[in-house]
Amino acid sequence: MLESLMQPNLVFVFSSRSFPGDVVGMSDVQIPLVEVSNLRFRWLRKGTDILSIENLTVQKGERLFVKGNSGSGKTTLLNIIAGIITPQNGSVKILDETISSMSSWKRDGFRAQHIGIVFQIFNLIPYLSLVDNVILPCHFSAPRRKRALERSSTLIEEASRLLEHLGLDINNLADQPVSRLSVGQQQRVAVARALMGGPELVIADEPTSALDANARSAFLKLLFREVEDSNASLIFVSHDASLEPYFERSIHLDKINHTGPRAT
Amino acid sequence: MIILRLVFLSLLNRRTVAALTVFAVTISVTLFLSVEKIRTGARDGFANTISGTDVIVGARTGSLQLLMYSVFHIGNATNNITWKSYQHIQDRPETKWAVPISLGDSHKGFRVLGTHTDFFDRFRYARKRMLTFQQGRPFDQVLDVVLGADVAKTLNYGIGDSIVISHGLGKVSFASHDNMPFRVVGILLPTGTPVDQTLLVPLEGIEAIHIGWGRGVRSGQKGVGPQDLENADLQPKAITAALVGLTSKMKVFQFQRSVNEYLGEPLMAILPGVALQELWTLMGTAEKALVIISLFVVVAGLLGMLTMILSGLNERRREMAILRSVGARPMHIIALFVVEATLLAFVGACLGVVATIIGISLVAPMIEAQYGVYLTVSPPGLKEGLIVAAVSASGSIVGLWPALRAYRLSVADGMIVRI
Ligand SMILES: Nc1ncnc2c1ncn2[C@@H]1O[C@H](COP(=O)(O)OP(=O)(O)OP(=O)(O)O)[C@@H](O)[C@H]1O
Ligand SMILES: [Mg+2]
Repeated sequence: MLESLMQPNLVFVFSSRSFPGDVVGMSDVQIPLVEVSNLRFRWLRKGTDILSIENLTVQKGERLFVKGNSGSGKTTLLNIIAGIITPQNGSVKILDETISSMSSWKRDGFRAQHIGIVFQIFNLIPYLSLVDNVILPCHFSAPRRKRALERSSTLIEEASRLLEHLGLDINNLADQPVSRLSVGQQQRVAVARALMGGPELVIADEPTSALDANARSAFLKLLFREVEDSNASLIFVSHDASLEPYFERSIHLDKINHTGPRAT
Repeated sequence: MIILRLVFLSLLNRRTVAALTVFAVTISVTLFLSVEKIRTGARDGFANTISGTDVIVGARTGSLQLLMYSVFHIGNATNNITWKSYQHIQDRPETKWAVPISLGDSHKGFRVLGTHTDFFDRFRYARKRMLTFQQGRPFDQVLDVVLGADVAKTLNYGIGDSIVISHGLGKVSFASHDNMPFRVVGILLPTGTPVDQTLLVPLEGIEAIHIGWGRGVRSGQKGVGPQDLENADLQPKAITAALVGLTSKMKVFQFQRSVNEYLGEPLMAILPGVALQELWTLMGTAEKALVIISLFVVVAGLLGMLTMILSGLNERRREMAILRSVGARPMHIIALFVVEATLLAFVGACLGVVATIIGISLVAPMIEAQYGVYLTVSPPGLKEGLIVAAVSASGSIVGLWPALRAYRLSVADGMIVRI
């Protein structure tokens, strides 16, 4: 499977034209992890809707590729799924809990426990060490700390394990300020952090856009392996269509988003 | 807790700016505490100078003026009181003791105080402390002199040295009583009172040097000298004031009234404590102004901190987004800034307390020598604790502003920060 990732033509490619909500996965039993329905969102109260999505489902263990033009609202959608912002209309359900109607306090806790996030760039807090950056989510969520400690005896050990798994030589890198790491290394640290304590959902917003082609496929390979290992679902946003074949399913945001002139 | 760790590491990362901010707070707190210290030092110094004396009697004038010239040697007596009046005071039934003092001559800018040997027994400073000799003994011959600690130190005099007293109070006096040199018989230990800057001589000595003098100029008699003292009448005719101790504190007002109603000449009796109170009300405005100015400096220090935190805010938006993404709550973001501000203010204030102690112990001898204000170096107490608490609390309040701003920014930004 991992070898085949490197050869897009051999991967079972799903059509980006498959209609919204259509679920095709590898697992036999389909359990929805994320369910977005009748979503409407605008940034400014008097502005126009950025997002209007009738239905979007992500299955457990699924890897979903979300593409779309720049400014189409991909990052906004991830913000909503992560519970960082709340939609004006509609609901977002994760693990059968409606996060869109939770109190912000609860939503923050929910995110800390169940979601790992990787940004495009600047993923790391510059004044924390490599390991401290990875451990960070465990300070804000007791369940996630607990799960991390189920795998290793200490948080540091678990962070080191993940970092090593992601091909980072922590013995050499640990003493360096994280800002001195290469962009590719930084992104891998961000993946380690997103996976620390085994969250059910990993959200990645163009994590490879700052990487060259070689680093990109290497990164993707590692990301997939880790996500698979921890049984997490992955929502991966990018406007780089060349990555699309690696994913089980892909959606084009403009196709499911009915705003603007095409709004219904 | 993670927030403390984040604050600490983040500040360490910005150590130059953080150190400068702490420094600004330190300077402002040091200034404030020093002003307080000197203010209370001056007050205590004044209050400590005249312990043990119940009443001061002098010629009728302002009560503050009498206090200032008789005790603090500031300003001059407008009038003397006669020896007869002094004897009357001494004979009052309320009087336990009465020590005459006579001021008006000087030696190289230091005042000369004519008095009785009683002065050494009766004078008290700093509540109950007595004058003690570093060297020598009290005067007992007419031309003996006892030096205050500063006089001996500044002029480098020792026991047995010969001293000529000048007429009047100028530093450079052309009229000197060089025909009657005094001999140093004792040197006092420092007291932190004007006595340190005083030469003490017997009243008779003051009389002696004025033999053959009239109205401040030397009259015809040229050859007057110590050999003439035996036959001379050295009974003082007038003194500047008298320090009086009463048999009972209850009798203060009775005594005061009788002195004020004395028919021989216009006298007045003052209670040093009451006169000092008058001084405080007089100085109160200036003191308040000083305190307010130094408080504003503390405010300026805190504003400097606010500027530093606010200006760093934009650069830290990504940090906030990362923290929010890993589950930090708004409360955590706010705490991050409030704790940072509190910590900076706290450290600044603590260093200010330390700097004040070090600074005071360095300048205390100088201030003491220059102004006679005795600054005691004491370990930090309640006052310092309160200042540290107040500055830290103000720091927290100041930190609330960037905290709320950071929180609002982090909500507006969402996950991705566009700068
Ligand atoms: N924090 C924000 N406040 C206000 N408007 C925003 C904010 N973030 C995004 N928008 C607006 O929402 C729209 C969608 O932005 P979004 O970042 O979701 O697009 P995107 O698909 O992620 O684009 P890109 O591919 O360039 O990252 C844009 O018009 C943008 O101006
Ligand atoms: Mg985006």
